Amino acid sequence: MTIHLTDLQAMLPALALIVGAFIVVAAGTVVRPEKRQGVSEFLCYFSLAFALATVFLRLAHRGDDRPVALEGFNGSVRLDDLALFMTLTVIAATGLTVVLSADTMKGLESAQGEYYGLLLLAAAGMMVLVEAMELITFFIALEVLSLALYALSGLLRRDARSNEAAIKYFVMGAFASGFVLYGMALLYGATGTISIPQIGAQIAAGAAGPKSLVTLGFVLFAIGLAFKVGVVPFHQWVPDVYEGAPTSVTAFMSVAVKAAGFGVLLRLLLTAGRPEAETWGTLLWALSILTLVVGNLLAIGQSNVKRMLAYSSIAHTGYILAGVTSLRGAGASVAQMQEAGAAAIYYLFVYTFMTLGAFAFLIYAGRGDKDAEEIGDFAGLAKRKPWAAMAMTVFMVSLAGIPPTAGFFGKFLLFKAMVSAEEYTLVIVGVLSSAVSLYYYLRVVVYMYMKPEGEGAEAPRLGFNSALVVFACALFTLALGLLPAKYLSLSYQSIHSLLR
Amino acid sequence: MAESVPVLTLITFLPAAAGLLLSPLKAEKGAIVRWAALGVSLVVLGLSAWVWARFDPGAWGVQFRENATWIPLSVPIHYTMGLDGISLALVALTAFLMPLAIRASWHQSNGFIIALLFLESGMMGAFCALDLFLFYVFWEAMLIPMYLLIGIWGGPRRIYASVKFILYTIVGSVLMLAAIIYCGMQERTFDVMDLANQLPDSRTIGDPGTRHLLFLAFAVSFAIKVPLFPFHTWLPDAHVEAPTAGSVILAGVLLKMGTYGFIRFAIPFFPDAANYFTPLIVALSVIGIIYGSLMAMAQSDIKKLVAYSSVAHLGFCMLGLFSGTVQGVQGGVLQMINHGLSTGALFLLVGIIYEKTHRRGVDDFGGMAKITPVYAVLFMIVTLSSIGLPGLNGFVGEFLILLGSFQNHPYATGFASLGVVLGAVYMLKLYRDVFFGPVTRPEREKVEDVGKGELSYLIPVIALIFLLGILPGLVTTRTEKAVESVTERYNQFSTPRGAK
Repeated sequence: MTIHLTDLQAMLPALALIVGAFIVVAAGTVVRPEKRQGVSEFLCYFSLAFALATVFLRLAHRGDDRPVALEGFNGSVRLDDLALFMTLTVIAATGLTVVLSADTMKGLESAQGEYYGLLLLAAAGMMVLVEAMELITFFIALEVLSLALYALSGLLRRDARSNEAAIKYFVMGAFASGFVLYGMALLYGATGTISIPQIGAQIAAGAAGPKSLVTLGFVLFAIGLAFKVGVVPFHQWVPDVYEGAPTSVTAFMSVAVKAAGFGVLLRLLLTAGRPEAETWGTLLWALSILTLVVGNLLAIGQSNVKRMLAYSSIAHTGYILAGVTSLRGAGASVAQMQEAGAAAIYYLFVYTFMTLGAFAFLIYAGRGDKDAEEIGDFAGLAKRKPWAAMAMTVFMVSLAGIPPTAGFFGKFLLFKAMVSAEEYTLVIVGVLSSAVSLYYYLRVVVYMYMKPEGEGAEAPRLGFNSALVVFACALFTLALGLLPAKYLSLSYQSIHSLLR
Repeated sequence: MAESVPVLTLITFLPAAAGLLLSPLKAEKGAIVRWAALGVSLVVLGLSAWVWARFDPGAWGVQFRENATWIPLSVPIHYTMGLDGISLALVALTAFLMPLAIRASWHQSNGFIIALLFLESGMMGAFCALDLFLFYVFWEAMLIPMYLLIGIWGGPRRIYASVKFILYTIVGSVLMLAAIIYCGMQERTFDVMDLANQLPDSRTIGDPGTRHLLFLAFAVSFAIKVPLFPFHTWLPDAHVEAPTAGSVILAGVLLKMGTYGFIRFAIPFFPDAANYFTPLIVALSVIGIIYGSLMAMAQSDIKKLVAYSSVAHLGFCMLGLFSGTVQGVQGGVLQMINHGLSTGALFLLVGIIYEKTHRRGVDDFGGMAKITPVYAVLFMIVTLSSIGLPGLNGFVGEFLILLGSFQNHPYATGFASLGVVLGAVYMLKLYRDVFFGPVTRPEREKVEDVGKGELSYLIPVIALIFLLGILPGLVTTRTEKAVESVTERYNQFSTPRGAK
């Protein structure tokens, strides 16, 4: 097999990060320790900027009715609008995480090379994942990102919680991979192909093996992915891992994994899974309601903000999943499917900024060598840093879905898709749980604005880089709520590219 | 009526823009912030007066309309602003109360003043918005500054009160959001005027059962805001804990959002459902009148007394709005304005005495007429206005309501008129206990009478109380056409009533 230029072009953003990752690790071994962080950061920025440039170039190439679908490696990867948009989301998340990391990684000089390398590798895995058009590529990408994340969550070697997080995540993740692999095997057995579009074609043509085999394949596959993005009842690892992992890693995990996971889920459901909508539809419907209710209810009781954000991340998985569920209607028109899919990926984009911002604030407001985790750490911050507290309020309000923030607009789109698909139960559960969520998000605001700072509390760190991320994210959260048109049309096109 | 200047946009966004510009100023620059805020609110008042003067009372429909596409979705979201007589009156009320509220907060910190400015923008926007999505954005966005006003600068139980306030409102709002999306998707438009003018036969939203549910979704949200019994329990807490300006705006304008919502959205969108639920709403209004009055009688805290009196007064408003007669609705609208003035003035007065003595229990005072004669006179005028003495503003509205609703709901009106008597009882009892009799507390001897600073915001409101008492036509001529059209729409669907 010869490798053509288009093959490489189709994977260019991911390749940029992979090459970057190896150089970062290699550089870590030769550069003097005190310069290591700076060099690693620079290399990260460089490779991310390169990836970003390729994404924008491809987007610029596209005419209105001429979507850029670049296929590579005999159709095993496909850089289409969906992949581009999710890649954009992943780059945004990774870039912000790298900026953020300068504040958290100061004390861990030995880990720097690996840290940045692993971060880039995980991001590259996600990019390939959303591009994958056949099951083996898909699985390799999934494992690349997972392995990198296992290592990242255990980065704080001397911290018992971090070790626990890594082990838990690894065991659960391996378990989930098993599910995915089993599902893949069944699908292959039933259809005789590993190409995702061909699986869909086989099923649609009725040429696939026994229906139970196909159904079971899809269900196992979906469960495996559900583990990865933290859907109830496969969510038990989420709070512990999120709490134990270094905060910058948690921030990265909570947004980027979700983006990649849902990106691939959408691709799968809209191509191969279309004829099987009944089966996975019912499964996702039940899972999304469960996730919404359990995620929100468990978040209420948390006094540790990092843990609260973990449960909130589960709850938000529920909203997105509910949006995806509204794709299940048998008679859904192309416009309806586009609406639902676009709502989901727009929400993922928006979610990236509000959640990363919130986690960045935990680092920003950290005291001593600890990040702000307990709710008490937030007391009196509004007096000390009114602008940053305002930014955190924007994140909390946006996560709760109150206008004029992006979180509201994203939820509006999701609910609109559900109403179009006549999924009224989902809408009611969704809006009510979103009202409930305001309670626990507001608690952070209450502490920042309405409680005095504790006696003898250490002064917060207020790192420069985390402040940068906080304000950039706040800006995006507001801008995407007030002027959503540009990215909205991008997300519509991404789904459109799948439906033709 | 093509206006070259987007005056409603100016009215809506000037305060927020000023708030944004003033927010970086340090605490030492408090004087600049206060004067600038006062100046901006006066400019807004001037613009509103200009609109008031230019408004054509003889024309049907919306004036000063502005329209632009905001978010191009399959059902596009527009930035549509406009006024009819009813919203004009409420915009004028808001513009009038705001400078007074700022003047009454002269001793407060910068953040307080800035929150007031953002609040003004939210309220103005909600009254002017003629796109459901836009309305919802303003409706929820104004909750945040109000929440902060109560939660940061409120009394001892401020956190409890503010959280209760916002959670109550949000739970109602999210159901309304679901209904808004449903209406928009069904009718393929979010335009309020289009939705309010559907033909009775073909183009109505859903079947009757669905319309009942939709009406309830809107109605519960508005009923919480009004507040209609039994959704009123947040109100006494919020009022008692809120700072003076917060109470003034809360009672003066925010409660009107609820009644405005009924007359602008719930009734015109679903006139048949409104008719269907009229007995229930009338019954709840009358219960609210009686219950609010009785509770007011039992209060020993002046602020709480005024808060419960609001429940009773707003009950009158609701009775008028659901009377099905032009007089009744006209009275309801007038009562909205009058209650804003009288209760706003009462909260200003209570705020003054609280500033001076840090007490506001009825028992804490006695014989104050001897100590503070000017204050006593002003309080008397406002008390009489609240009771509905002919010649002052309160009378006309209450009279029209009773007159109008007697035609369709004679028994309910009979009970409601008891409320008029009870209102006189608790207000005069309050006046007697505080101002007449011997001086019960010697330490009150030294309390100073109202000074120039306080008179500067009391005189305008008292002047308006007299003006509207003598010339209620100033308001009613402008609201007439809007009231007629909503009443006509309501009566188109009224079930024939038996010979009464």
